[in-house]
Amino acid sequence: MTENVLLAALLGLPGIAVLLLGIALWGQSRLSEQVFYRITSLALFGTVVCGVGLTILLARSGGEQITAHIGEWFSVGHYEFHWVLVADKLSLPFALFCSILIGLIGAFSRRYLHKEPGYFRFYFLLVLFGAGVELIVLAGNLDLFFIGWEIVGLTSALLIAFFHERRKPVEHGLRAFITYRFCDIGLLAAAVWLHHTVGNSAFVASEAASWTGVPVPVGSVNVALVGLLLLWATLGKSAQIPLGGWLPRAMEGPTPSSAIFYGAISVHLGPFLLLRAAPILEASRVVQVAVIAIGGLTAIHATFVGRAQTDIKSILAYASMTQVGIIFVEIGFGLRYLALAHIVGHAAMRSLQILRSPSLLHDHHHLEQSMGGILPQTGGHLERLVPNFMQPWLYRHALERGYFDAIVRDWIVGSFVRVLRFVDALDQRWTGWLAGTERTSVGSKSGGDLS
Amino acid sequence: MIILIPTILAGIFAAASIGAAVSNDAKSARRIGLGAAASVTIIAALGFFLMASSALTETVRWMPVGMLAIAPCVGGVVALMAIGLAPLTSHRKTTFVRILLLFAFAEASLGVVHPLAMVLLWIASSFVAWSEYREVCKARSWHRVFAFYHVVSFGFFSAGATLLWMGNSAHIAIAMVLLGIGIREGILPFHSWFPKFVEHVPMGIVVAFIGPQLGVYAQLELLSPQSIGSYGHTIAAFGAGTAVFTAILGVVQTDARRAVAYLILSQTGLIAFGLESHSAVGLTGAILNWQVLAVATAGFAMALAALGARRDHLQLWKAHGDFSQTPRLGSAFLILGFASVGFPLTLGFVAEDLLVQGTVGEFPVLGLSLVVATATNGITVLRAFFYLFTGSKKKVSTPDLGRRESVLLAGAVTLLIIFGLIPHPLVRFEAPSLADSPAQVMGHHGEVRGNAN
Repeated sequence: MTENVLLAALLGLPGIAVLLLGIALWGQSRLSEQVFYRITSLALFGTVVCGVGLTILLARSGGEQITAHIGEWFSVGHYEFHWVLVADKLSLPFALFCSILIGLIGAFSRRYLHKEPGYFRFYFLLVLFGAGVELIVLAGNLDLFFIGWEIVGLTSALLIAFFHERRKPVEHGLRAFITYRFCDIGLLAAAVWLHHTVGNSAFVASEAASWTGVPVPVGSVNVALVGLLLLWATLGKSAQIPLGGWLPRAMEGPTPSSAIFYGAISVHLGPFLLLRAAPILEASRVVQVAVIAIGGLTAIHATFVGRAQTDIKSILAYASMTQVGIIFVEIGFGLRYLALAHIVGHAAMRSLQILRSPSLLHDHHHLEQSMGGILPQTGGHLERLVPNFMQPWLYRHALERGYFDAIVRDWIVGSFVRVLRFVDALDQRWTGWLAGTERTSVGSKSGGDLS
Repeated sequence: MIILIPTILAGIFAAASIGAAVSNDAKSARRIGLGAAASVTIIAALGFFLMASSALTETVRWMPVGMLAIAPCVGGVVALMAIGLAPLTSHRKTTFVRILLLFAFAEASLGVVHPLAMVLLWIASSFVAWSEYREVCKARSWHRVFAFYHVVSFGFFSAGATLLWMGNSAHIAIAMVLLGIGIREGILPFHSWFPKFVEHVPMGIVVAFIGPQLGVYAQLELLSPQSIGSYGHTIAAFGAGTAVFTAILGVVQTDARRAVAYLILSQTGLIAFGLESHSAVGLTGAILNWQVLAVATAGFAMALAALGARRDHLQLWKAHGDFSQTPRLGSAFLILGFASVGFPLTLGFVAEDLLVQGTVGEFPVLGLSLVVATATNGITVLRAFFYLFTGSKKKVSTPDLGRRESVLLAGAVTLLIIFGLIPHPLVRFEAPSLADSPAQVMGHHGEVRGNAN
């Protein structure tokens, strides 16, 4: 009983805070920054307390997991949608870590965003993000997981476009959202296919890992299909190739949200999903190889591109991408505990680096003063490994970000948009002919964000 | 009671349209319409609760009581939004009269059991919409496009309905009815009239014409899934094709009204697809989607109309709005838009989840294609939000929502979120008789409605 209450509170507290802040924002009540901050920090502190309580209860019981059946959301005939939350060796450390980190970011932002016009909106989105993350982490089935996944995607896009009076952040927010939605198709399709083949998407205990995981459907084709769909879902959130172009652009948002999303939590939700999908990876060599290939290629690509960047946030974005790529490789090789430790360590360090990034020059000067001279150049080991004749080519490749952006934008999305606009113009010409009005030129419009 | 209540409600709307016609100006007409819509909503809600206490498991015609009982309430809520949020800059006195007439026809069709009466209501509503279209497009003849499609549509529909009424349930009669419905609903490849219609006609008329989804109702009323028989897979394919194709076309639109039109078409495709499902889950999803389309998309479209009254143009070429000036309007636009495309924790999510889960067993590939439509529609909504509400710092002040608009939009948002979080009562009420096996669903339907009664 206590476990159920604590698990529900872990999700419910940020949910209540979202509700309160949402009502306050809609009513445009004259709440002070202090009140918004207090509500957020109380909710997040509450989740930390609940997380610690659950950890103690799980340790005392000596069990593998605590499952809370909150209730049925809706049902028709044979189909039922249940609220089931799971605290196990994967979700509990992750939930606790995320609560602490989001709480710290909230505390940091109190002064960082003081008097900022979007202060209230930031806290609302931060706590909504917290609720989404807790739902992803504690979800007992893939359907609930998807709900949290969507919430995180939306808050991410809205926070990238936080400085909404400028066009670039808005365009980058939209780009991130388009990438997310494209990849969400994979997650939703995997959930639907599991319902079709297994009958539900509830996480089950497996021998592959010491936590619950995605159920394994019957038949190697079904296993590979679900596994590849889940891998597809992770490409967007975790900025893996060829869809990682949005990540450096996402740094247009406020520094605290960049730190929590793209240094710490959001970018690691892909590996978290793969850890949940451990039984699928264990059952399908195809999926394992695909995960290793994607992760490995991303790590190599991002480390080269990151070295050619000239601003600190882009460098950090590519550094994040590199590490997440390596985490993918670890998961592909079945080194799941190493991956978990890597996620926590990387998230903590990277978010700290991003938070300090606005003070980079100050920190650099401080270090030089302490050292009594100019700091030595680091990172030359890779240059020594690459033959001289390849260096200019690699440099050009890195400057162009591996040409992935250009290929995706101009060849794939651009061609697609041009075809669609042509079809739309044909349709308009047909209606124009019916109406007896002037002709609309076919394919005359181009440009905009999507071409 | 099931038939009596819609008839009373239709009478209220008809009386209000007469009141609006003799009123002094558009503002008075809107006030009269708003009063009528509020009365209809209250009476329909009372009727709903009266019926909720009894006959939950009964079916009227072949539809569940719950669905028929909720439909007038949904009509009332949609009318509240279509009238209450209609800006006076684009809605004249006669526009309000026509909106009220359209809602009167929609409510009346819920109480009608005779196929030919349905044909008459269908023709009347198309005529009212066309007459407004003709008036607002005096300089150009876009109304001809509407007339062309709708004359063909009710030609097919009335011929098919007459054959059904005469007891001829041959394939040709069913095909004609379906063709008529398909054209009216804008199912691919008969969709071309709709974006132009949304582009030019006052949004209140668009919502009143398309929100109640007379075509969907006519299909539910006249044809059971079993009677459609071999056409089922074809219609499902066209429905899914419409959902995906129009969703993708919606993303590349450069005019916000056209983007909304494609969003509505995509949702309509989803409903058409779900109605062909033989599973209780899929059917319930389709019916819920219909109601979500009515409320959420109506709110979304009317929020766009409210923005249009405050702004010179609604282009989607580049971001040109200022969220800080219209935070409530922007938020309502975003939430209603996402609710209409099935974003989690709104009623739209419940509807789409039921629809996809209920159809994937019967139509695996088509069911999965709905996932593409849903994801793409989400992009259209956020793109419209970003381009209309962000991207610049306006020097000229734009007013945010007034009290009336704020109450109405907040009410719609609250309804969609509350029923999204606690959908069980609504779902249970919608599908009591559909809740078991497909065989049981089929058992209820029997033959073509025209023959059964």
